[in-house]
Amino acid sequence: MLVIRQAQLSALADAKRRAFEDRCASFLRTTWPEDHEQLGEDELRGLVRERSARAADFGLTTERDIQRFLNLSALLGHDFEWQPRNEWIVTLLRDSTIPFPGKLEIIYRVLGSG
Amino acid sequence: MAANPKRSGGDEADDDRLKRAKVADRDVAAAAAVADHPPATVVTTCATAAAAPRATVTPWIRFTPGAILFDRRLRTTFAAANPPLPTPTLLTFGCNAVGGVYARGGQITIVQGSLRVFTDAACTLPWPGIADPWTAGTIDIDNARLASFAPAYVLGGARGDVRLLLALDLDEAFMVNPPATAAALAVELTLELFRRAPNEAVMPPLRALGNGGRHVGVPANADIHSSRVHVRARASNPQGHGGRLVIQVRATDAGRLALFPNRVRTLGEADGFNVEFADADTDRWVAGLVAEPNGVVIGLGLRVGGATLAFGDCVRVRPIVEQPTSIGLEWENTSNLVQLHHSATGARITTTAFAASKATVFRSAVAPNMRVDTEINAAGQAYSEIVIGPAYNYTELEAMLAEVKRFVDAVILHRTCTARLPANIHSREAGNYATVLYLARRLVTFVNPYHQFGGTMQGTFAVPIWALATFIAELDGDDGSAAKTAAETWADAHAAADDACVGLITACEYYIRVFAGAPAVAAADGPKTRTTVMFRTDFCAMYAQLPAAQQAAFGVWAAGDARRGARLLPNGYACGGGFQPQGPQIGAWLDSVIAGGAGKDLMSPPPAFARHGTGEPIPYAMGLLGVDVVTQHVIAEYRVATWQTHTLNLYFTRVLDEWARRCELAGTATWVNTTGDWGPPPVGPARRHRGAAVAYTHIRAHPGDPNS
Repeated sequence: MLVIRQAQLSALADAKRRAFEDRCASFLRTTWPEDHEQLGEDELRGLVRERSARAADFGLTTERDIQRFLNLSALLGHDFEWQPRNEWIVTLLRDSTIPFPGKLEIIYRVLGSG
Repeated sequence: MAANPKRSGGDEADDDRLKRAKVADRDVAAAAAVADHPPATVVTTCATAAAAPRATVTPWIRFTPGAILFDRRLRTTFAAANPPLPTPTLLTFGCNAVGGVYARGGQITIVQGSLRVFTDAACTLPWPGIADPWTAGTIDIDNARLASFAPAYVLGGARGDVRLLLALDLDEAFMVNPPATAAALAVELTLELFRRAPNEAVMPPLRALGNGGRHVGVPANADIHSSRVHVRARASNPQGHGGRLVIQVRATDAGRLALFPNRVRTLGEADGFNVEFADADTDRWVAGLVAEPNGVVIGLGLRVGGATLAFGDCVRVRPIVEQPTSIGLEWENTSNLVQLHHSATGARITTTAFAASKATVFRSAVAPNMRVDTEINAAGQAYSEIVIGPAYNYTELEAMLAEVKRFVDAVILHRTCTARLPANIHSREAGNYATVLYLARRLVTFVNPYHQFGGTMQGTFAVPIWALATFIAELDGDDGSAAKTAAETWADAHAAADDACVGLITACEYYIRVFAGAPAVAAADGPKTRTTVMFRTDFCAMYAQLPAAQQAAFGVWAAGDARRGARLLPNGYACGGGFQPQGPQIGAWLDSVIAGGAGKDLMSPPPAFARHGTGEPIPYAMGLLGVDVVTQHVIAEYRVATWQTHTLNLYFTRVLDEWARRCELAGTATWVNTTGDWGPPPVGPARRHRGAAVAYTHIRAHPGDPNS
């Protein structure tokens, strides 16, 4: 019988996590180079972890949603939820009655209407 | 960090960033390489990263958003046979106990009133384990459920106030003086929910008609309470472990909240914070005195067995003093012809003066909740308004907008649209406004031979005066924002001015900015056509809302304004068939706001229009009304929205958002602090914890029951 030890499981999980973080970091560097090219590897990885945690706070769990959240976060600033002017966005993101893609559509539409 | 392109002026760089973000978002959404499943290991990592370095206690209960209740107009307009759908109040509760004193869950008990509790928004699935209606008993809430933020949808079960009690159990590991304190009941928070009882009196037809369409969006019920939170600090149990229970407030925020022994504050009663209570059950009421966007932190401190948890459990309360804003909508259309149906059971409105179309009649029930109000300009020539509302929350607002859109689409697409409106078709006599032909719930035919049904959508708000600045700025990003900035800048240098004073100054600044540089106003409707936000409430009535100290502050502003010698509407304006060469001097107008000559200021209405209250057949809209007699809110009209109902939705939703934030007690718990000092904030970007021990708003009776 194949036995996978806890340490092996942890190693696998670690590898997946790092792969995910790499994809997100690459996405940020490619899409928003002016904001992220100055960050070191560890800083960027930490940023991805922090923003992913924030995405989870908003109920986002899939990789696709988290990456779309990172994109929004990069647009608005990675501290956007602490800015009073963005309270409406935070409120919208917390709204459990609207699917996340719908929220994004509303946000981009409003941002573009001004 | 990047700027918010919407709010930072929208220069080219921001536009470019927004475009890039949209493209990137689309790419991610479409990318096959991006998984549609949870990156599970990341979630684990996130959870670890999010773990609090210090114990937190964040019990909270929240009612969102401001619930609606029937008012007299609504009940009269929508007969029992066709009531609006019920909109439940969303009740969520939780206790994100990561550690600390409360980590075992608690109980919610209904101690007064009656509720119906459901697990779904449609209110079809009763909450398991609770009697329906719920009039007595306790719901045990284990920590897992608290942490799940399970929403409950609540409808009032019967007339009357509702009181819930949230009791949180101490964690077993909490051992200040074991073992007795492990079972100590430390703090109970009683949550009072008030409602505006529906007034079931049927409005007399003449009053209904006279009122029809003129006061859209204005609540008409007299039984309104300001929101307050009842806090009960319990004696330690068993006795002997309590030194004192403490409720304190940060000194810098003093004056923003009041803490007093009775539900209704006695005039002149001092704020009751920073008082230590005896180790006995102590009841206090917390109420907001002034809107405070950042909330106010109060601490519920517990001293047990000689150890003090000063501010051990903190709640951040966002105080409110007002009701949620309501919104009503009108669709205005000029140059309509009103004719009776041959059967005399309905009426026909033709959008031009041409003969009726021979096209097939399109029958529809697209607008079951609308009504039609007309105003007769000349014989048989009507100026009509399609009216709906008011709405008090998002659900109703969206339903209203959808109905407007369906109606407008039907009229545009079909040459003739017969809508089964619960309509009040008014008089056909020229100049006749009050005496009307009452044809409630009859067919109304709209004839549109050229598929041209233009018009303007308008929204009427009832707005707390302290919120006027934000309100105006939200709806008019140019002059409105500038007025808000100017008023706040002045107020920053004058400490005596509070939010209400800033609200009135903003309103005045807004008119000055809109009218001071205005070219000649040729439109027959006169100066109001220049405004994005028009005040139906006159400025004297707004001024009367201010306490004496704020009136004095306003007077300082008015007397010191450098533009006093300039004129409003310096190039004149059309007025009821004539032309007025210029408006009043700004100084004279501001003085009239304070002096209240004849009860109205000089812009309510502008000179050359018949003064209000003089029996004018069709009064001019500006400043016609006082404040709402019940809520004391300022009534204002948003005038410039056009066809785009989705735009309306965004605008109104954003405004309603603003009020929703202010009109509920919601907040954020702070860290447990055992030293009595506030200590540093959490590490990193301040992580907001879902929190607030209590929040409440009004709930309504079950609308399906016409007797409730």
